[in-house]
Amino acid sequence: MSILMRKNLPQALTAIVGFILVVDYYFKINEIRLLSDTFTLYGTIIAAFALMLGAFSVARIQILNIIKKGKEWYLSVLLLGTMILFISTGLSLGTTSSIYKTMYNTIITIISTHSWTLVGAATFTAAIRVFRVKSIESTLLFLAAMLVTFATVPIGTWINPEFKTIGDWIMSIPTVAGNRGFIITAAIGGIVLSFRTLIGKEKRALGVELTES
Amino acid sequence: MSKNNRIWKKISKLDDRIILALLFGSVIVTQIFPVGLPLPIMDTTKWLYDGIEKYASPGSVIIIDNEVSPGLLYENGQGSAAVMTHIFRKPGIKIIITHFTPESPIMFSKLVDLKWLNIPDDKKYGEDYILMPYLPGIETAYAAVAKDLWIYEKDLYGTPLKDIPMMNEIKTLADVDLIFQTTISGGHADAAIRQWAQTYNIPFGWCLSAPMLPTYMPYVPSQAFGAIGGVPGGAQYELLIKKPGNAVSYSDSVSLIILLSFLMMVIVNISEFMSKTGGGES
Repeated sequence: MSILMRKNLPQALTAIVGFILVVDYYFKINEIRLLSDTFTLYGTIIAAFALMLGAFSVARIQILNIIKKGKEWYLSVLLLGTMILFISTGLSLGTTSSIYKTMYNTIITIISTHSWTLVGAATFTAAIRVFRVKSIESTLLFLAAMLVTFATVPIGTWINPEFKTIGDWIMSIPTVAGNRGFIITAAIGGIVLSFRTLIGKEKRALGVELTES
Repeated sequence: MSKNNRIWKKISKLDDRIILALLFGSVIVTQIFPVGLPLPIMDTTKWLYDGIEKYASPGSVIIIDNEVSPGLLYENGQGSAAVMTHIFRKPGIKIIITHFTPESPIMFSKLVDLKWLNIPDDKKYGEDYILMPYLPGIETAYAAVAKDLWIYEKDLYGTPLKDIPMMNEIKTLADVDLIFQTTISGGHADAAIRQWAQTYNIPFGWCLSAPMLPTYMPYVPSQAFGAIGGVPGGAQYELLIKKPGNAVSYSDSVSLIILLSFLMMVIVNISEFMSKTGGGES
């Protein structure tokens, strides 16, 4: 693929669309608004295509694994079978049909709930194993976590009603101050990154490595 | 190494199976023998309740952005259902339910099927509330819906929006008076606050997962007037709307698990300290 198609064209398109969206946010110009609305609509259509592309990509990898009798190929058969089952039921009966909903609730909901339960259990054991009070910082973290957690559950206020007052204070003051700092810093970084992308200085969004630029 | 030291070392390297057995046991015991400890109502929960009381007035249009996930159904499903039940109880309001994750439309019907969410009989589909289908694109999709709610063209069941009476006077987000979002995804929470609440200056309330709540506290109570997090938030909200349900019944389990986890953290830390300093050795 030529450098024009691979780098310059996507860069130019990103810059044009980006500038139109930025101008539309700050200035109310009808023509720009029309273009901005159209580009936003295109965004949702492209996202739908991206989902389809993802499904094709997953199917392609699994089919190749089955053909090559690769690692755990039987799981690829299971994945493809489930995918075909869900897509065909969704397309023929609709995703609001009782059969589709029953399939979803008896397969995906159950599996997802159990996966998250395992994550919860692993987090529980990991927290007990890893949370070591070795410094002033880790002691403060431990105390803050304990106070906020005890403020939200009945046993905390049953032990001492002051847990709620302290927990509310930690949530409203130090938590907000710390997180706000993170958010503002990240936002400033985001603005800089977006501006660099718009003027063509930042090419990683287009999949181009820094070394190439 | 002395006998005492070996014991301390053993405790500090507690077997996972013992920890998990204690976790499982504490859940079972509290479900069989509930204690029913009084539940504290956090400020953020009260703010959410008060905000909905204030903004969900007759004639108002409300968007419920339902992003309940199947995996964390028991984490934020009850809280979401409690807040939605509160909103649905309000007379003379129009509710638009949006979905930006593929699974959330099914999760909405799951909340109704489980009877966690009660839609009153006097609320008619198409006249008082409408379900929108899944729209991909997260941030772009939120921005597109804000500019034109008719981007959907059809509702979840395939009925054209022009045939749905309540949509006649609702065109963009500027026609909306209140937004309530339930999500466990930072991407969706960020997109809603940026593209909806902040840009259109619309009162906004949240139901998040418990670990997300501290992260999103900088937005509360300014950009979001209130928020609840996970099972504790759901339980508090169930009490506020006087409909104690599953979240309240899980509160004892959550309490015991929390107490157990902190006790074990303290014990493991003490034992590690003692094993290193040779504690207990005569």
